Amino acid sequence: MTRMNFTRRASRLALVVVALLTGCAALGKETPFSDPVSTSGVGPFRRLAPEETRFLGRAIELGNVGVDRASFAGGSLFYGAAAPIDPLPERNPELPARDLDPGQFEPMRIFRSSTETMFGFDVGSEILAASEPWEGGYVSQPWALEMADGSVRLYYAAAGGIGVAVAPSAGGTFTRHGDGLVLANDLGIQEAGLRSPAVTQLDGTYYLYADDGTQIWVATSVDGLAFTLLDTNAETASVDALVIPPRADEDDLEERAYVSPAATVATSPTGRTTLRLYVEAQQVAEDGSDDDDRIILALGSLDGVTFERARLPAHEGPDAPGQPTLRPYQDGVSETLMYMTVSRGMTPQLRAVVLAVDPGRASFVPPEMSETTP
Amino acid sequence: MVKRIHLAGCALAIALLLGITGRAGATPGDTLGFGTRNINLGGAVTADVEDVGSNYYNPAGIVRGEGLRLSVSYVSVSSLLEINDEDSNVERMSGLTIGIVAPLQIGDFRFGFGLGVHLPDQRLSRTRSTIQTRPRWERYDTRPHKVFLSTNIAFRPIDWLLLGVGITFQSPSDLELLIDGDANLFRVDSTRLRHQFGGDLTSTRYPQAGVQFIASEALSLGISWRGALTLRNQLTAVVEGNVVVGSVRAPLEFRLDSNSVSTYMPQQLTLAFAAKPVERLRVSMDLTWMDWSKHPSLIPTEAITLEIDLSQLPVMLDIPDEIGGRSPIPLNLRDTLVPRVGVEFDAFQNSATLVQTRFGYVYEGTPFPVQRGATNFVDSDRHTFSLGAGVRLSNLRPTIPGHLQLDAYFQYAYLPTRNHQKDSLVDPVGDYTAGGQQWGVGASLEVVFE
Repeated sequence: MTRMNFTRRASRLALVVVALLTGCAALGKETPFSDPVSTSGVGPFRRLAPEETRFLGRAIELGNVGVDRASFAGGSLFYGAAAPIDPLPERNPELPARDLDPGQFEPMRIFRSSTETMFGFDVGSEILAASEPWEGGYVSQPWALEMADGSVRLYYAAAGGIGVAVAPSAGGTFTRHGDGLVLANDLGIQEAGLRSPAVTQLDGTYYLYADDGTQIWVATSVDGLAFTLLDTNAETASVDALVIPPRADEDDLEERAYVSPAATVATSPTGRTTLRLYVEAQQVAEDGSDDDDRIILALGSLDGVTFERARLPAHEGPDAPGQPTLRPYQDGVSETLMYMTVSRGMTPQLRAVVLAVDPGRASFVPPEMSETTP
Repeated sequence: MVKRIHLAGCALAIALLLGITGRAGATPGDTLGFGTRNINLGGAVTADVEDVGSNYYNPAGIVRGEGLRLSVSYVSVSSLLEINDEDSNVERMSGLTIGIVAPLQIGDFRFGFGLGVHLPDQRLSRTRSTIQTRPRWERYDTRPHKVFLSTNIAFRPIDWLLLGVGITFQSPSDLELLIDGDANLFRVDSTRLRHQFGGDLTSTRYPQAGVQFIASEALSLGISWRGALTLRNQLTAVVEGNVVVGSVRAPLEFRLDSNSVSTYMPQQLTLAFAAKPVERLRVSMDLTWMDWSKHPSLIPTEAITLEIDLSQLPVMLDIPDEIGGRSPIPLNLRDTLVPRVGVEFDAFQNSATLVQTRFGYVYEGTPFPVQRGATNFVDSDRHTFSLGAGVRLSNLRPTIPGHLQLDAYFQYAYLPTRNHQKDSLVDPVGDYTAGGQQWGVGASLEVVFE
């Protein structure tokens, strides 16, 4: 009899429990969509907003100084810069309208800033000025490459080609390797002197990309200190430049030059290693005017020579963005930051360094500001 | 009591099943299962199911038992599915399952009917259109979040042969959005737009059928078939109005027609057996063929037209020469064979109480190929293990003229990490890995009237 009572009580309790569960079953909540995935680095890169940065979107505030590319390594920003000549010389009419004209500036030198707040660097100090005969009186367009041992190689453009200076750390003293020259111009095949070097390492080989004002050339090296120009097309007798695949959509503006490469090697979540190249593409205005429109292309390669082009630009904007360089970053999601220079719409053309991020959903708005944002 | 398998009857039943054709629908049961005991046994119950799970696993089971059964259960599966080690926010799949099985007998004619309902507790139905470039766990994102309603009838023409057929209902949607009025480019507060929204949740059905052969007290065989289901969503958006600048009005007409498949479940054929090799032990196995290769594309067909006369406007508007829609991309799914194994052991029994412990395992190979191209439908193989128990309380008169069955289980599913490496080095999404785990629990109460 006792067992029977227990059984009945248990069954009644079970009925109550099931009724409660049934009642609670309808209490659901909405879950958000998962975040988009973006691991190929093709962007689009989003320009950092004023509230995310110290200088209203700019990475450094240089005042009345022309800046000729900026590159990040080891926590420091390296940039080429010079003050305008007074009185200002006539602008070279051959240059694209929104390019900085080096002829209007004092000889370019390379500076370093190591103090950063909210993606804004203090004005830096000079670390490299022209001193070798082959440099022709200027050094500019730095590309900083941080090595595994913490040392930093600073590749730069000068009159005679591409040079390198080395420091034991990003904050150390930079000294040239020998006379510094790692790849001399070959004006027999190049339209002009090499500039805007970008160096990365893929499968033990250093790849150096540099432009001659129209197209991009690639050179390789086993130690990164002496490069040999690479022929990208063995079927022709001459040494050929890099082939940039044409635009996918014929409605897009025609492209007249590919310059200012930026190179990096990345390993995808599946373990595939690719060499990514970002290139400034200078476009021909639809109406034939001298409007200087530019976009930044993203390309990918497994061998550093044959590239596939992303269908959409990695970045575009009305202020002629160009001279991209990269800064790896990790803050919750795996971001890549891209430094670039943009037109400042002044005379002379000074350009300004700004910062963009991929994926665009990454936010750097300080918590105290985001809390007050409605 | 049946002592031998009647091969002629089996052949007849198989022929009957394979001869059935028709259009069919999607079920949360494919993901969650149906009925606590059945889920606990890995779904390996097609051969001998007789509870409310008959409405999903095999309608023939409706007429297997002797008494009316009413059941209510709650099941829940939580996911920790990740893409590149980041949580994909796959929503918990859970809901209330209610069912009835009513076997009847008029003279020598034995028949029965059953009704099974699954009500998701987050929302009655969830549909999210595909964003081609955003990876999502296709089999777990929206498919289980549907109402399941199945009605079935069964017959027992001879003691060893049980036949059942049924229909399951699902609801596609047909939505229309109409907007008209004037949009003032420079004086937003002067913009006057009216909109009208209409939606039809229509009904679609798919058939199912099943057979059980009671070969002996210790052996049952089963076959079940479910038809395919395609849930299509039609969306039409029409904007008829004017773009206004100052006193100038430019007529604008925009139309979007989107036709998408929101959910597709393939036809399935299951062969099963259940045996009692010793008195207190039941083992069973199901093998299900799933016809995934006929899966239509989940990429919507979209047609967009935009007509606007800009000639009179005093401002320049940049209107693309051509606005493209989207076209379906083949999914290239492959058919799968899903094995299910269930073991049930009578751990304790006396005149008033029966305690059973259960174990189940399911292996579901993914039908989705590695996503190398433009689509990003993420899926992985799934190994599901279930462990649980049930208690039957008898001798409950006069409270209940029958017995109460209480069941509960815990379920763990492992989805091995899979690499999705793109053919293109500059794919907008890029390479990714996807894998994860799921945990499920469920409990039910069933009343069986004698």
